Amino acid sequence: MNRLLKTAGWIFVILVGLISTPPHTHGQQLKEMIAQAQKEGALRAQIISTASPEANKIKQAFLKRFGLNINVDISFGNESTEYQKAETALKTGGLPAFDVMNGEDGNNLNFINQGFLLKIDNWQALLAEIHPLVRSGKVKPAEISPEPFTGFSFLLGNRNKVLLYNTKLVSPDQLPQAYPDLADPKHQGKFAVPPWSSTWEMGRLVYPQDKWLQTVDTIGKNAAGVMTFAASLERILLGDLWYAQSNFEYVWSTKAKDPNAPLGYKIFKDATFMNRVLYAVPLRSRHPAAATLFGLWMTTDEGRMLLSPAHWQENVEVGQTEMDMQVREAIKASKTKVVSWFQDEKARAELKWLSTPDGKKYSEAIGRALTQRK
Amino acid sequence: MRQAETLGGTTWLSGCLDRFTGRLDRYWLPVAVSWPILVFILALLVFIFYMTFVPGLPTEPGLTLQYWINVTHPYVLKTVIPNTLIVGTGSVLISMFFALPLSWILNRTSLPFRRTLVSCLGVVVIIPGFVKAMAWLMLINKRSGLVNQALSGLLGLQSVSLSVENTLGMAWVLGLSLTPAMFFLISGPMRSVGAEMEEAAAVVGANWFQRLMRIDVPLLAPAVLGAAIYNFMIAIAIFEVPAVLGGAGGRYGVLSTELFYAIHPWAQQATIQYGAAGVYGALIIIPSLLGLYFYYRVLGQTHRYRVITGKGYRSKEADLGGYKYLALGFVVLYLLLAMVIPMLVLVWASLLPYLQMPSQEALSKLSLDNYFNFLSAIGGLVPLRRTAVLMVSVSVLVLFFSFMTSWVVVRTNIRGRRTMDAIAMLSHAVPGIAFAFALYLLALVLAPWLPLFGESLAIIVIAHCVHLLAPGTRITNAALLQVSPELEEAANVCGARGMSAMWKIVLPLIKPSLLYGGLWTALLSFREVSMALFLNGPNNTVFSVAVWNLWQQGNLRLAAAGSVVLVSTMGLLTLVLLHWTGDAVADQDRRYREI
Repeated sequence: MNRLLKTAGWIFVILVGLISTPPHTHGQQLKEMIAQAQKEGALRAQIISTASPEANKIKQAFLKRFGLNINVDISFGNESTEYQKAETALKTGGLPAFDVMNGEDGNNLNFINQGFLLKIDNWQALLAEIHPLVRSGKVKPAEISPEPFTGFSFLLGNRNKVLLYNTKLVSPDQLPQAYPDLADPKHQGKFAVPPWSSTWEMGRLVYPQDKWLQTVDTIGKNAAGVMTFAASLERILLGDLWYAQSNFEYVWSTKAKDPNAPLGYKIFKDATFMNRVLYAVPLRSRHPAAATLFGLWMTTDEGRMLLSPAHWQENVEVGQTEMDMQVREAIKASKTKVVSWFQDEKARAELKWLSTPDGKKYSEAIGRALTQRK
Repeated sequence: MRQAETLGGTTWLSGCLDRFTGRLDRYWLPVAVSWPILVFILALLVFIFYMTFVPGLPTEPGLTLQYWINVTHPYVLKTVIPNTLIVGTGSVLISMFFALPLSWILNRTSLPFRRTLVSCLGVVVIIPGFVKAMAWLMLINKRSGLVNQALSGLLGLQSVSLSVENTLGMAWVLGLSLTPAMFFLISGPMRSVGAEMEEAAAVVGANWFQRLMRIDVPLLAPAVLGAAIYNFMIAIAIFEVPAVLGGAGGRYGVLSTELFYAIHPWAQQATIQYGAAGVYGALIIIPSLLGLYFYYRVLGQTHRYRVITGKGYRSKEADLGGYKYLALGFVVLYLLLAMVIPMLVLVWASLLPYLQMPSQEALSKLSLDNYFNFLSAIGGLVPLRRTAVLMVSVSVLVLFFSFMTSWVVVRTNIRGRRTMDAIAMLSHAVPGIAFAFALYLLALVLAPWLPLFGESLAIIVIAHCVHLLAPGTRITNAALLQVSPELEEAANVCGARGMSAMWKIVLPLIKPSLLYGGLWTALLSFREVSMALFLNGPNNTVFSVAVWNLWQQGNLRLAAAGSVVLVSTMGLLTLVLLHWTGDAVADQDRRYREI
């Protein structure tokens, strides 16, 4: 009897202990992060430069969202340059210029491999507090921070490559249907190519390596010029170019300025190259708490849409805005193959190969072929 | 005897000391100021060359010749270097075609509205190069150029294959852009050519053309040669015009674009190729050194070009008579090509939601929205304040260091003065962007002690000062060359000590040149984008970089709006300042006529 009472007593104590201990709340972690950010007192955040007109709006919204009263400087610059400068600074023991940066998958992976990004503690819990879709269970945290970026970088959106064209100069049936068509002499001088080879390297995932290099070389010779997406868009609208490979987002940003702009888009039949754009906190960030809050908040539809109307950032993976749905539907309807470095293990292995000496040589060859630096 | 010898020895020693301290008394400040900055420039140059042998960052071990070996790549030898020479030479020829007649017309004739027209030349400088390039791209290109469409309509052709998207187009736009530089560099000497020689030639029967070719041209040769070398160096080092007209591709690659892209590679996971950038910089330095050699050959004959002496001198204006309309037409033509047309295109682009050709449809879309959105797009007034601080700091510092350096070079016989001048000129021979990346790496090395240096405005001020020392010293050299030492000797005989002659006699005489120089360096600093872009950080973005960023990211309408506002403001300031300096020059002229 005594033993029975003793056991019941212990069970009772344990039960009371379990009930009375307050559960570890997600809200508490966010509160601590906010308090830390307030203590840090400042933040230097990077946004994409095309969104520069929205910087002040984003800053005010961020401060309001977390009830912060700190000095926020939202700045912009060329993504590649900022990552390279940050890499140089971190290699030499210096500090990165920005506390939180956004960039494509390749730049983020490069930084993760070199240990130049901060891994965010309890990022799943923080995301659940900050991201409505994660909180509601519609989206898993692993979809916002997928492999191989888990805990380091967080998905802002995607860049899907399409062919933009001047609707007054050319009809859809006159357009190249697949990437190799750009090598056809009938398209000579009518389009521009970008100076970056990153998406063109993805052609290896669709075509044999050597054949693809030859195709890119012919495309480079055929092109009217080499220019950034923004510059080629201006030239298309001017009627100087007929079409150019570009990001889907430019359709939205152009139509937002002028719904009657003579701009159309075509999704390539053979492949739609897709990059991810992610936010991350670099190592030795001066204000890591504020940076974490900003980066995670920008991954929400609310944060992302503040980039518009200057810049429209689609997120076809988890975004729920009207633009995301339309882009998703358009890609699906075209029956194109969506190609990314993270579609499967084979693609990830190919990306890894690009950082080897042979891979770098191939990457340089693609770049020289595209820009005709031969 | 012994006493005399002792006295003689003492006299000799004290004579040496007197000469040394007397020289020191007169020259201590210029020497103390000029040598450190020149040593700093030399150190940066050495660092740049060192980086050409380093495989990665300067803190990483190892040396390599790979970057130099890469120069033998066919692309560099057969495309980049020839393109660069075409662009450099072409732009010099075009700027000389305009600048020499302009300088004579606006400085030596009785053409009406001279001061206003000179002020307009200053405004040409303010318009950023890439904006002018975009304007010309709209005007002349094979598919949609306004001029092409007009010509094809007139001639009944399907299309007209004129284009500025090549090396000749780059030379054209650069030549137009650099004409004011040449004009300002030779204006001082042009104004100072004495009337007596021309009158004497007229007395013996020489006509105006003979006077021009036999008196004016030889007297102005050093200034013109110096300006031509200066323009060539700038033309082959400018990045933004070839970047716009040649694009990011390799077909029309020149050394400046290849240098820039070595530091700003487009590919992800790419590393900055400092060594390659250094090599491209070195390839730009080599023709500069050749130019310097010829420049010094001419400089050796400077005594022949001295016109302002202790005897009275005055300049005289030529009466153009009926030719004044031709002269005015020439000036207006240049201003149309270099300023009016680009500004009209800027204004047009700034009023539209996106760039498009003039049409009924386009007219219906005109609005002022871009003017309201521009400030917020660049982060408010902060970049404008920074730019103002940058311009004033650079202008004052460059003039100060230039004057001190030129004083040592021109006024003393201190050993090593020619080396000093060569070092000062070298700072211009090296592309600014090469200095920028050397300073950037230096800032990284100093980060543990000066963590904010790399992100501050100070690093851009230093970069501009280093880079603009060369044009500054050309202006102050030329100004001091034309003032004879007789004036200082006269002052010393009358008891002037130390540097009194410098401050009280020479400086007032060359004040117009200094004012021109100050304005010129301020404008150059304002419009410079390559160095400021490379050194850009969240805390030191200046206006030129802000506009460049807007343009590069497709916000041409915002960039155009900002450019219109700033060019208008700066143009107004320039007009006021040039009118003011023009009054000062007119007063000075009057004073000397009365002597």
